[in-house]
Amino acid sequence: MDPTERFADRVRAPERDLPLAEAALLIAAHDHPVDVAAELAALDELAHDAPRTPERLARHLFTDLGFVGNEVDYADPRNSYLDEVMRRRLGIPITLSVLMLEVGHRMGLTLEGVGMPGHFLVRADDGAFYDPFHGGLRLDEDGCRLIFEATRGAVPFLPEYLAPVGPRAILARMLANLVQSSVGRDPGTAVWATRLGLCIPGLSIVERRAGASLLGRLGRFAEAANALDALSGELEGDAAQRAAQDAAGFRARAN
Amino acid sequence: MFPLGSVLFPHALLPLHVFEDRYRALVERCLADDMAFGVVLIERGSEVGGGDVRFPVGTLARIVQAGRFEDGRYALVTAGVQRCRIREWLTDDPFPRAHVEVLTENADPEGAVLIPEVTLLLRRVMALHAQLGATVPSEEIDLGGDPVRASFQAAALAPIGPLDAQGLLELDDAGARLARLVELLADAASVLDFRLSGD
Repeated sequence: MDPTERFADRVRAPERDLPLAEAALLIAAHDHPVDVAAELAALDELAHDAPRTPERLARHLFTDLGFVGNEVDYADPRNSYLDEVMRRRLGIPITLSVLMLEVGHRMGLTLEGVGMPGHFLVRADDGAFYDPFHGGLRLDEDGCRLIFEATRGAVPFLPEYLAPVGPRAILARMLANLVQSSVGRDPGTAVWATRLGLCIPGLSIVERRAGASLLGRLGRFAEAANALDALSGELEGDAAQRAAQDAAGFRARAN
Repeated sequence: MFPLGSVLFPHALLPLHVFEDRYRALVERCLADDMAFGVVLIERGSEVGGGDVRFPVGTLARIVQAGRFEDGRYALVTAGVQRCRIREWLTDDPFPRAHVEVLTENADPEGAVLIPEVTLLLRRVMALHAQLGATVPSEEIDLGGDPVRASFQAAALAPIGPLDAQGLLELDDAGARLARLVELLADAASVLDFRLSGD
């Protein structure tokens, strides 16, 4: 099975059985060859040697072992590839969080991802939040709010930003980051990352509409036209008309 | 308040050349008290002399750099900070003043999904403008991942008229602003494609 089919298959699993680390490694496998089994074994090994509480695990990974946030080049696509994050010990909040989630799950800890806008976090069953990008810092809700306010200026903080998110949403956000960082410099990566995003079940119509349209802007005219035609049936009023118009526009350029 | 013929967006920079007495007084007050001032688009009338009609939503600006000429004129660099809605216009003496309400932004995270498309369309429209001989910003466009900031930065870069810009400023939701930018930029790209194909 090629990495795309395998990714599409894994994300169709029910959320609680979805193999997050494997799916994340399959994203990386679209950029470069990845020995998925070896990388999963490396995660097992990390879990074998790690201390057994969330707070000590966070300190172990993000201080003792030196997995750190890439403050120098946040947009480097390698920050989004879990195998590269493990090899370079450098990542962005979401991939460092995936590392902690997956090591923690292997140890039997109950950890969940938290998709706070602009800064992904991990929540443990003791109610505390951990910030893998900042040395595994332990935070309460106020601490999370302060981080949000420092980065988002005029936008008011809402408590629901700290709600846990499942593996599908985590993978969708990893791919959205990758599209975001590659769209200007590497259109080929933006194309496959957009396609993988569209494989994930449960996306909103806004996300599917944006992905379909983006494929057209990236020159995949026929693919975009077909996807938009399909979506226009699910939309209403002006939005449906606009999708059909865009589909016709892309189709004209496909010929 | 500084009524102008163009729209200032939060996170954007606006150079200003101030020569009218009343706006010199405004600048001196803002510099002395480290205050923000409001920028609003003029709906009808002109920038000079007063008596104009102004739109009800504008942007608070801070002076980030100020140079004063010997004859009392000012060259300023100002930065948009936050949107505001005018509650009530007060007197124009010694300079236009108003009671304003500072507007907060909606951060619906879903809005971020449109940032890559807006980035591509902006690059395309700018490349087409360059082909037609216009001078365009040469640096790579990177709007970042924050939908609010990205929507304002893209709106400031987009080659659109002041009325379309005002429409974007008045939207309360970053996702809606990015969606409208997709429409405006896609239309602009079509027009430019047509002009280039006709040459």
